[in-house]
Amino acid sequence: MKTLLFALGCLFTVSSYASSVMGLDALGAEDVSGASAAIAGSGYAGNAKASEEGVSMMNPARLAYNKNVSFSANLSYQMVSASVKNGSLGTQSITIPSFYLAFPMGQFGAFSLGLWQHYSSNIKLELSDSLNSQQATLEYQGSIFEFTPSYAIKLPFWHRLSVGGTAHFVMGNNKRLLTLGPDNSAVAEEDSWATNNSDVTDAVNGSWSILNHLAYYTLAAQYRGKTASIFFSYTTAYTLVNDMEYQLQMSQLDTLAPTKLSRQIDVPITLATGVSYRLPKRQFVMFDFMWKPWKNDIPNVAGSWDLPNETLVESEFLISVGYQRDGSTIFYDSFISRMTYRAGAWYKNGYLKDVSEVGGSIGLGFPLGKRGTTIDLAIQGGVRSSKSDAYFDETFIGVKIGLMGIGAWGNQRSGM
Amino acid sequence: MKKTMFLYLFVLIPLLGIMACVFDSDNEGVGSFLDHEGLPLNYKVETLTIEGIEPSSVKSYFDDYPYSANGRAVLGTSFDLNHDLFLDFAFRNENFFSEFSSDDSASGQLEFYLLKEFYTSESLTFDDSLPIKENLTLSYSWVLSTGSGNRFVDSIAGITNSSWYSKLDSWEEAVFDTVFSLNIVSYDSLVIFPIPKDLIQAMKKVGDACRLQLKISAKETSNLYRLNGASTPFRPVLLLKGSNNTYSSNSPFRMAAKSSYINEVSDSQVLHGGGLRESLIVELPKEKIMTALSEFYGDEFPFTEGDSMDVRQMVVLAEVKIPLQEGTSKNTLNKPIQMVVASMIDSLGEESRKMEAYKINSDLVKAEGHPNMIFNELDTLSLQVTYGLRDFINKASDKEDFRFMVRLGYPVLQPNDPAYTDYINTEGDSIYFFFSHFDYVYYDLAPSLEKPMTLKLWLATKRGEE
Repeated sequence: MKTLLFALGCLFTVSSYASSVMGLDALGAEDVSGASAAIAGSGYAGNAKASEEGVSMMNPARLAYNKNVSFSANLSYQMVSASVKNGSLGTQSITIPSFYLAFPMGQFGAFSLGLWQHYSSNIKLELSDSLNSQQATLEYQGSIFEFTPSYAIKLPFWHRLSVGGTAHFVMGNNKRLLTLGPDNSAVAEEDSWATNNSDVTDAVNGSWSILNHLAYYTLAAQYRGKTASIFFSYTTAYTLVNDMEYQLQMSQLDTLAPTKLSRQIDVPITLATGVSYRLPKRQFVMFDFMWKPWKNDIPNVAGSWDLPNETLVESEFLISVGYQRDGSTIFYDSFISRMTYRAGAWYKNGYLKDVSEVGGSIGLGFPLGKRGTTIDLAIQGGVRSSKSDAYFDETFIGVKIGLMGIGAWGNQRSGM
Repeated sequence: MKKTMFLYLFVLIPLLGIMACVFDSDNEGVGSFLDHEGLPLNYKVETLTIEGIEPSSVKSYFDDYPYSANGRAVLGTSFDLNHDLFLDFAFRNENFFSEFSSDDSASGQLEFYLLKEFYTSESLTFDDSLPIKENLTLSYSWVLSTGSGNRFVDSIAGITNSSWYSKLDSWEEAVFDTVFSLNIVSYDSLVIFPIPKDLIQAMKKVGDACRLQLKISAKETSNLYRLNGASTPFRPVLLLKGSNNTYSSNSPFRMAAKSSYINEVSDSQVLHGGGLRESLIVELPKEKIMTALSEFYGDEFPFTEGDSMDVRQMVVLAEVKIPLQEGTSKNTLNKPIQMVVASMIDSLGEESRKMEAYKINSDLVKAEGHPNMIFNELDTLSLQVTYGLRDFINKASDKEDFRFMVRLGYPVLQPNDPAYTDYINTEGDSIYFFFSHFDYVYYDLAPSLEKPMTLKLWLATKRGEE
């Protein structure tokens, strides 16, 4: 355990930012399923597993089967290496992509609050080659965060079926800073003094909201059987609005007056379903499917040079299969048998045209204390490959750590 | 414990090392990524020279409102300007005045200390001209009010400087001239000005306390005397002498100076230095600049799309070059003088004046001296107006002509030193870049501004490959 924490500590100290270098000027990288470490451990499968405590963004109806007040916070560390033509390009990132609180209220259903970083584009790349007078720093910092209150309730006449919904209030900012050094090749030698110490930064700063609405919504229904559970969910389409200010600056205090531009991104509906099947000895196999029919290309942050104005899209889908062996709930069993084991694999056709992702993951849940508080660890790896020239293929390794705390508010103390 | 160490040393640390290598970037990698995304690896600098610009207007602003002379005071004239001094005394001396009022041999004098640090500065050669001899005509006028008690004296201290200055401007008192022969042999010695008999007579009416506001002019001299002011250790003294060796010696608690034209002028393009509140505002025609930009980029200027803010390019540096004609201009210290530049830029919808930065072209400075100086035997004056042009092109759609302001700064002791500041050299000597006193000059920009000037822009653009 100590070793593990030490290793993670080492990893975090070398971190900068990035989860993918694809689609940075569109929406960035998507973190599906509410970015929970538990679901990430089983390859994004397991949204239908009703015995799991916690919150699923894909399936809010599952919340109705939560027994205890719980909170969970997730930390994600990702390393990405893109296969550029010559040289190497790699980035690392650390984020806290989600945070949830869930409050079961018995026959009155269950309520939860969450914060989920749905899309992010974070990267910092530096180039410094004074011989060829090349000096560039590219920095993206973008997050589309969603504040997600959810409510779910078991049907009063049939407890095996629950319904639930989530409202997604969108917020967040995005920023792109490209700092460039001068190239004096087109300038007479006696005029080159004028650009000494004159780095120019092209800065774009924006904020996110939804057009004409406060939020977008997910509605779900869940059936919890003795061995098999299944859910269906539907998420409404919405239009993201990104209000941006473009400017050039010599420093933060010495800038041009910005020009204001706005872009609108039509995000389609999402349909999702999943099955969880219970095998003997607390084992589960899970299958999940998500589909999002993107239609309209995404306007980019762009703003001149040779930046393309749009990012082409395609229908997005995610197929995932997973396995999970729940840990024993008997406190006096050995630690090994009280641990939860997960494994999974997925295939994702991302929203970026001609980009697909294949990945696998293993996960472990470490129980802490009697009540069921756990630390979930997921290690994911995979490749994002592109059929077009628009993107470089990427290899990624990610570590997600989630802390799930279980409280006993409102629960009767069992008699002693 | 050993097992853990083994794990750290041979498994974790090498693993982290490998990962750090695999997931790291090098210059080639970042370069090929930026290129692939359509982003440049540096910004291309282009220069644009716009020749033959004739100013659409040149206006000078001279403010002859009184200003503080508590530190350094000047009296006399400098070319076309006259500099008057105002001294504000408030004191009481009941014993002295009781005898003074009936004393027939009463006399008085005004004593000044010269600004010795100026006259004896190693950078100047004033010692050569000692002794200074002239028949000086001093014109005095005054306002005397009498009262009694400490309360009277204290009440005068409560009058603010600004309200005192505002009343000096409208003084219409009788003027009394004194002519005497001035002879300065040493900068250490007191300069003693006799005071008119009428002032002595007026002072005889003081019973206990008085406030004396005294104005001194020396319009007929061609010299400018630099004196110590009221808040220096060497402040002036008004000495009143009675018979029997009684005397009263009092210093002003504040002083003011007023600099004004000797003869009324109109349409002047003259700058005087001296730290006076004056400026010259030069306006360059917008159309000429916009046309040159249009021809250079092949785009529409001014930019009027969207909210009309033009962020397609940025001015990295802008320089306006004025051909100099210094024939009619005169200085006194024989040192080059720095030209201070400011531009009128937009600040949240209001026009505000921003002082321009000065970027140093070291090679040029070593060879020819700083290009932003006058009296430096240069045939061209180069003034940097980077902030101004940057703002002007950025918001050209709702701007009139481009305006910048010039005034004169301090004399320069090291015109060929790229440091542009005081410093200590490797031998441990202090090198002073600016002389710490102003020169009072007559610098007429009109002949220079009659000739067309040149505007040179260094531009960074966001335009991609066509």
